[in-house]
Amino acid sequence: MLEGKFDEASLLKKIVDSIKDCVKLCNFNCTEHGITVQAVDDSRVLLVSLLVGQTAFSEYRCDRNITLGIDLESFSKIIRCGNNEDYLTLLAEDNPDNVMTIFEDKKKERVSEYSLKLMDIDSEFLKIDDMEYDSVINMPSSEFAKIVRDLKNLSESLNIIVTKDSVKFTSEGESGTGSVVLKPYTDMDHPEESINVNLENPVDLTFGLKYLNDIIKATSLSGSISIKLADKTPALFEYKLDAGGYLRFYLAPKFDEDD
Amino acid sequence: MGIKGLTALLSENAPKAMKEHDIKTLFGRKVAIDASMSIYQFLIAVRQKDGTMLMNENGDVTSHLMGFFWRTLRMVDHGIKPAYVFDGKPPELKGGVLAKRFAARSAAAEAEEEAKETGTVEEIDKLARRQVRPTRQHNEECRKLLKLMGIPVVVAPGEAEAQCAELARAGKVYAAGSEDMDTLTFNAPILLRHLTFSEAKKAPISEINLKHVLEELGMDMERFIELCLLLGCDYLEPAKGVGPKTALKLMREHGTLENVVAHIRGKMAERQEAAEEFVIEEKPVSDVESEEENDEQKNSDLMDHDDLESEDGYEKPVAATMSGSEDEEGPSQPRKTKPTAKGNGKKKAEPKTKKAPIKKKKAIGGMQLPEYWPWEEAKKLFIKPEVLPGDQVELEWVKCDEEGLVEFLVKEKGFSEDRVRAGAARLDKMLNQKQQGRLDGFFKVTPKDKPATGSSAKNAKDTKKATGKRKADEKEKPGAKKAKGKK
Repeated sequence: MLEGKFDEASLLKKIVDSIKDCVKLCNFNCTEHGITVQAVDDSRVLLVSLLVGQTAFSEYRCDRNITLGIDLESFSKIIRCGNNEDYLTLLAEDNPDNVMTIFEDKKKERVSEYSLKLMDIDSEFLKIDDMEYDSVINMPSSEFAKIVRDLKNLSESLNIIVTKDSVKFTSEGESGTGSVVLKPYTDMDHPEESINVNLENPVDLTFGLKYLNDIIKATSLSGSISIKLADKTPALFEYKLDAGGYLRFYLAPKFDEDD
Repeated sequence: MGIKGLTALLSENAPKAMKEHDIKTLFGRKVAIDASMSIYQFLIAVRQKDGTMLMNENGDVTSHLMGFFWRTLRMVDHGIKPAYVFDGKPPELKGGVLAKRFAARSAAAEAEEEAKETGTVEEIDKLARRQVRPTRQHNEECRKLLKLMGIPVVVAPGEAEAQCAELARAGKVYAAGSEDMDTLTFNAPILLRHLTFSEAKKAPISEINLKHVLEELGMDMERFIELCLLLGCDYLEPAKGVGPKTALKLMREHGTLENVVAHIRGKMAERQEAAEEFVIEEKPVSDVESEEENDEQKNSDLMDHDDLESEDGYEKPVAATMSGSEDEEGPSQPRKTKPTAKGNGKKKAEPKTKKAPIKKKKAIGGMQLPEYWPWEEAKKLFIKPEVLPGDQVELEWVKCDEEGLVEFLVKEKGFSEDRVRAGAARLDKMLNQKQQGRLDGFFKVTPKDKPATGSSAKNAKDTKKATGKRKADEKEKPGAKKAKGKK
């Protein structure tokens, strides 16, 4: 059986809110090391890969591997019922038909329990090998979110050009164009504010802002984001969880010619 | 039109080959659309509230132009690149079906006259729709419109479906778009249905993958074509007493259509003999008699049934394309089977259940083939249809001629100028857009190690949606590893 207790309900709430707009249904795979999720959006452009490590829980126990097929929209409604600071415990049996979510108020003796029916989700598992990227950018996640939000107003695509000493984000639309240029920057006192560009080869890639806009919903999970790019290859956007684990998005780029 | 009962047969026997998509997920795909079918659809479905066709001030019908213009724009908005294929001349074998359709039209015209005196408004409307027939002028206007829009048009030497299939096979387009199931029989790797339906209907696009069909049925292409012939196609008289279930069973038992035909002919002869025997010596065959009688009776039942079916057969383009609200005709497969197909896929498709009891009671000998049944020729038509080879066809999407469109649609046909110009802008946008890529081909699907611990879903109301959706995804192209990221 699965028993996982979060010190604060807010973590799970943030995770579910980050992915529920791009994937509606997904399997939560629970193992002794933690919980993983892999899901692809309907158009097969964006892949979500989540790991909530065992360390992210204050108590964690999972004797046998369990798959929880969850409808995220319903799940998020349940999670919203708890306060951010509540203890949150997930409970499921070995062959579960539903998963229990228990909220415990830390001061008062208030306990609330919700049960969510599970679904049989027939999803295929994609194997993602580690690969080498042409350039890797580490930057504050809020900075990236702002760029996406601002440039989204102009067009549907965002062009990212990485050269030796700068990263340029451009968006060209009917009403006008906009661009943001970032240069590497180191802040000793606040390392999460630093911008760090690691370049093997220059990169010029274009992505759909619609998808980027889904990705930045994870901004609250981590102070920084790591963006890994390679030519004609899905880009990796990674948010690390402080408590252990990550939320990764793989996004297919746009092409000039379809072939 | 199409293959009788194939949709139902597939949804029962090859559910994995049929998937449903939202139109949004098809961005970037080129599709060859059966235009002749679409004209029909539009003439029938694109109408005013009172059921009359759309016309301009001069009384020229504009339903078809409206349909082509707006439904094409809808696809373009979703990033789909359509190419239209028009019918050339039909193969000779189709003469029978065409004659029937013509007769049906005249019958409908007569019935309408009658209904005008006695019938209800709906009846008159329905009969009026049945008389719809695209003229040469309709065809030419549509082609002209599409050219102005910068959308490629191909005129097939023979049947449009066959040409669509050829284009898809040659890799010129991703899929063939038609409502006609025989597009599959023409060996289209992927068939998309409901592409040209109106937005309002919210019908998801259904995608049928021929390779998966063959895998699940456990047949090769030749056997599949033969199965379709047995089910009933445009080129042959239907085999009486052979429904989808029997057809599949016969093909599985006997392997080839040749054997099946021999089997049925044998049975027919046997029965004839039995009937004669019965006349000569009455007593010993008394049980045969009752059986025979039964048979005969069932047979006539069945023949009625079949007649009905074939009627629905030629009605199908009408039924299938009606604007959806009014689809009371029984076995108009596309719609009827949809919910079942979406359901758990286990349930029997409706048209079949209807027929099954009849057949069960009947001995298999009730099957009848017409004297003249040139299935071999029909098969050839499917294997080697008259088409332009795919590699000789260039599909090019060019900039639309905005002024030309205004001239044609606004000045001649009375469309609103603002809307036409807005439409032209949408067409331009499609051309200039970058294409969104897909993850397919970068990541490999790992064979599922079926987690025995897996969840069993009990959420009845959503389960079907869930599985349906996941299954709706395309299969990964295996082998294309990500290493190719490095140019």
